[in-house]
Amino acid sequence: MKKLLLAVAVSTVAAGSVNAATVYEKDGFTYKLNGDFQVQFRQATGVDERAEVEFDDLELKNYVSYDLGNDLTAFGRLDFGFKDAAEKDENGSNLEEAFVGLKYGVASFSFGKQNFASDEFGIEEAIEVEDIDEDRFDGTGTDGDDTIRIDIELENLYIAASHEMKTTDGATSGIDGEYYDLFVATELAGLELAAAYQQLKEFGASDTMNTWGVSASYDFGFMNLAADYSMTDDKPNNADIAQYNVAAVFAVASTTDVAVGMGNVDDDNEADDVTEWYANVTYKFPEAKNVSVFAEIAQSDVENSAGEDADMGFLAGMRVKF
Amino acid sequence: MTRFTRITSLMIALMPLPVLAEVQLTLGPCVKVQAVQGSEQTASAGQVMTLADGTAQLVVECTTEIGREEVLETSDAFVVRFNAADTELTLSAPDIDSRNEMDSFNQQGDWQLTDSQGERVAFTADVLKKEGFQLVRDYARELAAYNRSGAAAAVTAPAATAGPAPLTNQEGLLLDSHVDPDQEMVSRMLRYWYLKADEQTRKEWDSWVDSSNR
Repeated sequence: MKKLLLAVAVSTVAAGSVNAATVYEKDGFTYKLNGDFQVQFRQATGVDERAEVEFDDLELKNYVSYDLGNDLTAFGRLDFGFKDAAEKDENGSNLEEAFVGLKYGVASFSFGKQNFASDEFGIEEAIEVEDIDEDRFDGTGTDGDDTIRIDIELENLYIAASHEMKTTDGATSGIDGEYYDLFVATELAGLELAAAYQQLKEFGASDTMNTWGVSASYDFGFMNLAADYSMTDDKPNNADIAQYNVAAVFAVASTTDVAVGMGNVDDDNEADDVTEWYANVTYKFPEAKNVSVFAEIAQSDVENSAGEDADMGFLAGMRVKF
Repeated sequence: MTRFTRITSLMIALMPLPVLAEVQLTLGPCVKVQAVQGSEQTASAGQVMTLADGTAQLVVECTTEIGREEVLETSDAFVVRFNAADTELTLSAPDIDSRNEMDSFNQQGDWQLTDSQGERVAFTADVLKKEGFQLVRDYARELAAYNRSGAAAAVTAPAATAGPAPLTNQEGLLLDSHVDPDQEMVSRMLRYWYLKADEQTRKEWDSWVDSSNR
């Protein structure tokens, strides 16, 4: 008798396989649910910091779409985050994204509460940064609740543009300015290049803050090396704020990534520039790469008012995604 | 024959020689196997599966993180069928970094099957579609229905099911001596009208079958 299946060095599922992301799909309608839970023990970089349990991501992301025919798709997204509820003992969830849109071929148009185009920018690989932002755009704002956004994804070129409308939400609501954002990315002979621009006019301000940035990343096989530079022309304060990041990620095993990097912010409004560096390791379980454990050490050259140096920070945690 | 020659011959005869009488299939990044030869078996990226020589039929999908938020996205389930013997193959998917690339992959099904020299190996891939709730899928049952439909990547006799596979004729119709002859006619007529139907009618029929809790 012919041996039909000699051996499969794998687990056998008794009855039915679980398909986590897509919950329902019928007649052109699709409902997907993604989850991202990340909890960590952390002692932040700083003077006399104490270790605590921190919640980085506790998100449930809902995505629905309808196939309208003729290559046209209507979609909507609703993301709930529970990080603040867990961290600050607040009741309920925080609505992180809520938007609807239409997709036609390579282009999609969406409006609602969502990320700006410039949110796509940046190469920083830290799990947590304490004394600097991820990049200058992270410093000026990368999401809003009155946002129109267009994404175009061509063969080797990605373009995103967004506009946060001028509103009177007020500072207590978070977003209180008018933003125009543009992000462009391409790949040339394995070199990934990106550029972003943002014009921000804070509510009630007479001058704009213009931010631009460029980044490059190259995969050498054993290592991915990346760098970015971004700068804000802070006209209201007549100052420039510049930041650069350098990061390298080493795939030391099929399950394990090691990342090292540093960032520096030079703000004309501050007496000293700030440098922060970090090194982290992430292990993804081979049986379920949606589950990972990670650890990081980080240090910055910030001093407190008494001139004391910041202590090294560290964290260790686990992430479960579906 | 000298004593030395006899000993050498005996040693060679007893030496365990590597014999490749099977197919070693390595799964590339993001690839997950859900069923093999008609029965549910799972294997993840990086694992090596050992398959019998001949026609292999797998249900595979690709799960990867897309976008800056690294949202997990899983492709449609695909039926992949190929013929191979005494070889080492690798099944992989292209790099998928965005939702658009995932949509494109679902439409084109551009899996890559290569041998140890990197040469492409012929295969047939087709989407194994299920309508309705997706939380739990019975791939063995879906695959059996898929194979009876005679679709692109179907095999007429699933190779390794738990029990004896139902006999089918060249048209994929059930040929079971215990089956009521009327049912054979029903099966024949269903297939006849299915093949006659246009795409829209087939979709409606598929939906009706799925919603009928078969």
